[in-house]
Amino acid sequence: MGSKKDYIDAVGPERAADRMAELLAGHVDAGVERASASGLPAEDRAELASLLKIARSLDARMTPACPSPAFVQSLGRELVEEAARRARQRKKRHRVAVISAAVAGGIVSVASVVGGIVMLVKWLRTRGDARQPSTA
Amino acid sequence: MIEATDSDLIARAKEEPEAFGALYERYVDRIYNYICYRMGNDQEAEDLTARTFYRAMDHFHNYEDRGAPFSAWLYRIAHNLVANWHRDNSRRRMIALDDLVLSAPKGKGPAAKAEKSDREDVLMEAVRRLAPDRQQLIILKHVEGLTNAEIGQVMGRTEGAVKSLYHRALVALREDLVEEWDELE
Repeated sequence: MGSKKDYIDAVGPERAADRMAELLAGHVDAGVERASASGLPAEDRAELASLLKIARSLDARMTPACPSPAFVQSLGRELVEEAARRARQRKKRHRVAVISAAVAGGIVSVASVVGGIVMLVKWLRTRGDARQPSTA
Repeated sequence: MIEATDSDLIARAKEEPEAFGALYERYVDRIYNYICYRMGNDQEAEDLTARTFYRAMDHFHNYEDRGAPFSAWLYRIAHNLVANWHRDNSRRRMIALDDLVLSAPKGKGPAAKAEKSDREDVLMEAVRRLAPDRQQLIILKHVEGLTNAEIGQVMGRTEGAVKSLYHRALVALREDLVEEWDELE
């Protein structure tokens, strides 16, 4: 096995770092206990082993923290009530919008009919006036 | 009975409050867990967990299923709330979770137990000194047990970027711990 410098010269510094990250991820994800990375210089194998040691310590230490059942229940109830309240509000807003649209539509329709009648009456009057013979 | 998928529940939750409740029950433990480790304080964790789900409810109509898991969306909300909390309360002194949970065994149990506890405290303090993105990665990997691909979806990074960040996070931890850990070993 060559020195670390020879290794970095051979593969390039970026590639060496990427390879270390890949090896580390592979070992941690596979749960491999010992760093057995062939092709790595002894110095890098030692580094990998020391990082794996930290990873194992983190695994051992970082156990899930559970919320209290009372908190979970109470927040769940609040959220469902709030979601129900918002759903009711949405429905109410929708109903108000539909009724408002219907009323507005009705007003426009009535106004159109009234307008039409007025126009018709005006037209009939104008026509009647035009037909009457002049007495002058 | 077949359990409803996230997509089914998300579609139904826009109309049915119970479906939102089911999504909450499915993810509350994971979100609490994540926030608890970021905050180191169970009361703040409860508060921010509640705010995470209320914010999810507020923005639920904007949520679009683009293939990423629903949990990734929740983790991002939680992450933003934690970041905002730290920004707004940067002067507030935080009581670490370990101070509350692990202080009892110190000096009471056998020497080995106390030493182990000291070592764990040192490790958790070092994790909390990491940059926020590194902390997030360590928690998602070691507490939540997410894969690198899943972490990438939560953090908006490629799987390769997650592996590099993890490598840098462990190197930073090792450098931070080198003196304290040697003393404890």
